[in-house]
Amino acid sequence: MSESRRSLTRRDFVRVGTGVAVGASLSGLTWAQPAAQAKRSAVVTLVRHADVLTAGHQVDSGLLDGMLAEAVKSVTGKGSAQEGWRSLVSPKDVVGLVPTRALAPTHDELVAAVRSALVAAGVPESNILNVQNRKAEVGSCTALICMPGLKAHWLTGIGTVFKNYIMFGDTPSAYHDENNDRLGEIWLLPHVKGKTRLVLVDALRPLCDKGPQVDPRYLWDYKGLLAGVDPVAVEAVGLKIITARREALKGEPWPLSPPPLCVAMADRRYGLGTSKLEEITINRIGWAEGALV
Amino acid sequence: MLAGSPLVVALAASCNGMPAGPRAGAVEPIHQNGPARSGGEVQTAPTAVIAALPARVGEWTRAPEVRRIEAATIFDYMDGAGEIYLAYRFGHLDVIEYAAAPGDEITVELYFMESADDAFGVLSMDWGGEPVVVGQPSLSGEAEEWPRALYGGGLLRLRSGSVYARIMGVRETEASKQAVLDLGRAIATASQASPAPQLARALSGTVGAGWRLRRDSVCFLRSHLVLNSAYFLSQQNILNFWHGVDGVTARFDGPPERPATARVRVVLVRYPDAHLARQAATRFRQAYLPETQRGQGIEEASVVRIEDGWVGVQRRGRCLALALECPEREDAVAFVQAGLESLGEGEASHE
Repeated sequence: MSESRRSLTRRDFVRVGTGVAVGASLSGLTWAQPAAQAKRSAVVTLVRHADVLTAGHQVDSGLLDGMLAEAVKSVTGKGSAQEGWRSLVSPKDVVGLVPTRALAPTHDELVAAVRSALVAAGVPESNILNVQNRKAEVGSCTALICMPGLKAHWLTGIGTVFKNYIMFGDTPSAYHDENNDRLGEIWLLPHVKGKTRLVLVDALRPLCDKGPQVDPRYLWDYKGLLAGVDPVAVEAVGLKIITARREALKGEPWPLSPPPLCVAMADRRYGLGTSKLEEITINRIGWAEGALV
Repeated sequence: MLAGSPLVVALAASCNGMPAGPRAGAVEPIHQNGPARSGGEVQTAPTAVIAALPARVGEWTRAPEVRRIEAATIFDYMDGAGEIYLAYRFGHLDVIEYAAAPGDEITVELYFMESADDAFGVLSMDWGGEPVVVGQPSLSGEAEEWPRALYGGGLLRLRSGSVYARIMGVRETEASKQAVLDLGRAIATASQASPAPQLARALSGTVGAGWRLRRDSVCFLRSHLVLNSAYFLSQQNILNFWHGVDGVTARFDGPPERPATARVRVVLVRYPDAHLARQAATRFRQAYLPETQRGQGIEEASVVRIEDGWVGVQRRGRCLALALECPEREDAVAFVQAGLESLGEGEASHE
């Protein structure tokens, strides 16, 4: 990568007419050439339930199981959750679950729900691993379920889908700071590429600023799950939710800073999916109040 | 589009004075604890602060252990967030737990920074929350322009001397809030009050024809990562920030007769010496204003119209002032001039 490609400035965003408010759009940049030119489309499912969290933010596991089932049915187009899971993984797969461990973590109840659903779909319990921070075990997995918590990140703008695999890279620090636009590269490493069967974002209680170190003022009970098979599209919808929440909190535009370059680059440089909201269909299921998208 | 032209600004002598940092011409290596201390020399003794924390507060009882986190282990403690503290001059972190019942804990995090300016810097990354009084007023007797402690959602963030503290109750109740505030007061009592960094205090409240400083936007910094969190400028460190540099960024809102969206961003930086400031100014121009490199003979001062308004940049001695997104050329001139005067005040007081 040349130095000129790496030295992205504020002016680059302003030139393409997006300001820095919409980091997912860099279509005017000559060096951010699209990996694929064809017209694309993606579907992202958003499932919400008003009662999945108590007033004390505790998870109702029964309701969460139901939300997960609806999400998988919607993503796969199958009539039942079990059929849906079977279309995503087979009983012979070694399935690696990749929750977020950092300070705004994936809820344990969601990890347990996915594990139970996989077992119900015929995957042996012994073939289901939690591989977060266990790069060596990722190679032995034949399928991955990416299940981060939805959160902003002070270094990358958003720290959800693409940041979730950072420990699978050879040198995680190589993706820090000004190099975070390269996070999509990890998804193309041989031991990772093509294995992600489902991206399932825990949006029960997201964090809209200064993550991952939690400031509770920026947490809110969104009570949702985001799911899809296009990681860029799922990240883009999550980004839209966080952005909308920030503006609602401040009552004025409050763009993520730094802009979430990793989303745009996952699309245009690494060809992992679409970041353009006009190419994304959102299937909305359940509670609609305060959906923000 | 391009309309580069020299900016003539009367130079106060102070920024051309003897630098406090390394000798002119020397490129100082980046190291953890930079040599330049423009202010905030207050250092707080960890033992005094920890000793001031009560054995019991409300229903919560203090655990005997103090967990020590060093720079080398900070990522083990806070995966992905340690950079916030390392972007300033971080010494170490002590963590103390209070427990009432399972799931009802209060965590006290004491970040011992190298100077009071560093502690201010961490707090200045976010001025949101409810300002609360936890300690004595500044020894200088000056009116407090920024709160020392902010509470919200069960979390108290405060600065006191060179300590930055986060005190968080897992379950927010009236009782937990009271306990958290009491712990904040104990910390503040054990450490010496100190003013905001000189560079922040020197910012003009108004500039030009009625531009007003947004105090809740003022951020003291030493790192381009922090700058980008407040105001994205570039992926790269084009202003050559490091621990030996004092910087501040702030937003000004336009006067009533201007559109409601009118705003200007300023970035003011003081380097250890003029050579380092010149290097930074050159790098900024190369990366951000390549127009000024095209044989126009502009080296020390520029006002350039770019896509989102006028940019003003000028180096004077070891100081560098930037004004961005200015609607008019004269705004850029006024902001750069005001910025250099602010930087100059610091030089005068430093000398």
